[in-house]
Amino acid sequence: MDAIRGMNEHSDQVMSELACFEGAACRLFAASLRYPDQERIEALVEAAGDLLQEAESLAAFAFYPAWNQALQALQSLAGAGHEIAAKEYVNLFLVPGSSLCPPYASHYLDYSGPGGGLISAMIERVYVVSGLVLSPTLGDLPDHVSVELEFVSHLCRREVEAWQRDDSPEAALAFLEQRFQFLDRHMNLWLPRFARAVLAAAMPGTKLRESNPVVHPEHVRMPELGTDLRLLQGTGTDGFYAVLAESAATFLHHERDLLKLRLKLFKAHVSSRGDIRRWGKSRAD
Amino acid sequence: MPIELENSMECCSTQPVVRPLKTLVLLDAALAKTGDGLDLEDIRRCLEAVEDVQVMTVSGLGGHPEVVSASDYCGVQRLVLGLGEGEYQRSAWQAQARRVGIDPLGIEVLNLGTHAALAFSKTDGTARAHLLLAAAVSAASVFPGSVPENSKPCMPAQLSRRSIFTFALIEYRAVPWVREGLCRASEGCTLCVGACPWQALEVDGEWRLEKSRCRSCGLCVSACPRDAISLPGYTHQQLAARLGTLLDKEVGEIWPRGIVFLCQRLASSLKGLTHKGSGYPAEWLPVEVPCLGMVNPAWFFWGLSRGAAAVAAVCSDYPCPFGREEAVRGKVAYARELLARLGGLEDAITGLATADGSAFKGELRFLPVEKRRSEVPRTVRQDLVSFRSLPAPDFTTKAAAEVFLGAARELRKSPRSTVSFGVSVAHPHSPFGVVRVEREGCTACGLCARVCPSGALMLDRKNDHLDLTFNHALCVACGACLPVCRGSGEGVLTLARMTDMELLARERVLLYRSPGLRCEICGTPTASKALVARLTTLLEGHGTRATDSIGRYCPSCRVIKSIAQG
Repeated sequence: MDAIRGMNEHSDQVMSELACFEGAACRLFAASLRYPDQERIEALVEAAGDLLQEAESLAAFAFYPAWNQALQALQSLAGAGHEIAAKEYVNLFLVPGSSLCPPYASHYLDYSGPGGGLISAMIERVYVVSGLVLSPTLGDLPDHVSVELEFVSHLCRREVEAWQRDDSPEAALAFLEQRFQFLDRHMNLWLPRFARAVLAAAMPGTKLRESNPVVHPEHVRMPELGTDLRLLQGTGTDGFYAVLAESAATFLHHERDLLKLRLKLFKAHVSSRGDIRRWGKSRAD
Repeated sequence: MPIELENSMECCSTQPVVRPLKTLVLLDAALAKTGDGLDLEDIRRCLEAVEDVQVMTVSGLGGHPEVVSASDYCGVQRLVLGLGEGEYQRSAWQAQARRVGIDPLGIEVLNLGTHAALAFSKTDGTARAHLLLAAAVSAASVFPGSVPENSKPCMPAQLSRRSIFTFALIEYRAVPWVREGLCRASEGCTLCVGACPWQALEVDGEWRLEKSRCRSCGLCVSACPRDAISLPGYTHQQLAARLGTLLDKEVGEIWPRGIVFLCQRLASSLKGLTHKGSGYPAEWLPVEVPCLGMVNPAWFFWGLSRGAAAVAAVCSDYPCPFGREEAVRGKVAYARELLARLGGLEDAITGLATADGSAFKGELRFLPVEKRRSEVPRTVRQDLVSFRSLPAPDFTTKAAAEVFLGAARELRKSPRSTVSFGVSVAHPHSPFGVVRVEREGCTACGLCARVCPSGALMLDRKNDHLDLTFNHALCVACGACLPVCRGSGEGVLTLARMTDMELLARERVLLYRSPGLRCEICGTPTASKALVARLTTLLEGHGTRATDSIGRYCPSCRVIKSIAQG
């Protein structure tokens, strides 16, 4: 019994810390992909600086290069960077034109056409089922990339709370499962397309094809060639949002895989130990 | 008889230009003392003769990446590890690679401890280690890089219950992912789905992989006729670089050499052989692949063309987890038959199934050294070694066709050869198929061309006629064209799994030509004359005004005409 208790206390803490970090990361990406006013950018730059110091402890995870890149991109906005970011944000996400990349799921998934509303309504329904409503001050649609990332972050927070309550392994597992489903069946279906669209718009003339010897998706997304994106700075479109969108897509793709692995390990453990409640009971003993 | 087209042009994908990347080779100092020991200084000198390769010898390499300081990685983009007998800590090395900006899925790991211990002498061991390291460096330097989708997180097999949920030991395995722009999943191609023994792939307008099911066998990679799927560690660039270096006369002193394609399962059992002299002859150089089912017979021919005295495909005779025993045997039998029909010595290609490393060693003695050095090299090398300019094949049938044609051309040059291009091999494991059309029944409707995943069948409109054409070099004999053919029940379209050298050489041939019709109002091409005739026959006696207008007007004008006529 001691061995089980020891494992559970340790595991609860690890699972809780992992969910806590994931929630924070999603919030960071959510804030980064909203309109970059000065106050927000200053807060993000400060947070990125702090996180960069701790980043190396995440090298065990495959998203580490993308995470590092995103933090460095945010830090590069120190000073008057918010003006550059705002200009790029307007060009990419607001002004109709060839470089417009709508940051809405509907644009990439709704077969009734962008703005058709079907996906948007479905996502709002998901929020309502989870006990959330959109804030009237938000002024944006429920399928905006930032809103969806905030929702994932919310699920992480709920999971952390469940892990911290002694008797709620079922609730924690339910939030884990819900997060996995949301990423697997929704966000990971459109976020990579959005990231590619932003990349293509930020790098005019880039053909996202294997046959292009200079830049193709493999090279663009290679950790050591991440500098390719940063080299664009000063050429009119600095690639800041291309880095952020790509990093967010990479992070969430990995997140989905890691959730799947966690669920598998958790279920395997429970099936070998019997009732899931023993996970909690052993702690209470 | 097919008609040859004039100025037949074939679309082929442009290969990305891959420049060699700076590679760091780390050797375990313990290798100098394992078995008879390896001459590490000699290996370092030989490897560093290649531009952009740096070699370091360090102690306790396998489990401790921190034995190398971060400054030693300056500018390094690829990593090759030559391990001694220590355990390889994958998660620790992958984390280290991420920290210093190296793609972790591009790390080449060689267990040289086994090879050193197995060698009959220090010279033998050093020569083989040098060759294997040089091949690993070549493969690492052309590794095209991975995408996040190529990484599958998993926990190490040996893990205590207590540490299961720490995630500090998480490691990543390579899984295949599709290269955008090449995949035809959106057009209905499902060849990779059918090839996957684990039901890990799903195609619903878009290619999706369930990583938790994928076992990285690579069968989907070789099933794709467009080489659209990439598996880090086993991309065609890496395999070609590895094989090319192993057979490069300028590298190493062992000659003649044989290439042995090994499945991972057998390769891991070889690691159990650690006493001196228990190895197979040093002339046999291993090329490890996840499953031999992914090896195209063209790779055997290419190996021979680069100077290999013989090529063997060896898999474990335990039940194959991927169920590919029959396919491997079939591929070897096909390659032997084709080589014999082309005038080569069929014994140069061998297929084996062995129980374990010891049995493997015994099997590879099947060609005594004296015989291998006299007969086999003479026959194969003299005839095939000269076409060095032939590019390495990728996983497409088009590339395989080029290899086979190159081999045939070289064998024809041989003064002893009586081979003509009329060679045709019907075999259930031929990578090619031949589609034939019964002219009387074909309507040039183009449905077969629309579903053909490899582009072997095409329907071209040229001026006032429609051409249904076929390229044997692109046909993978998938049979997708058969069920959609409205007349196939009457034997209009037939498919035979075979390799016809004459057809391969002719590239695209015309299967059927039908005059085309144009809209009488706007001039837009409508349908083939044969199709309209067929429809008219089918609707005879049930004709309406609409059926009368099918061949005369395009769909838009037909609607306008109908409305105008009330």
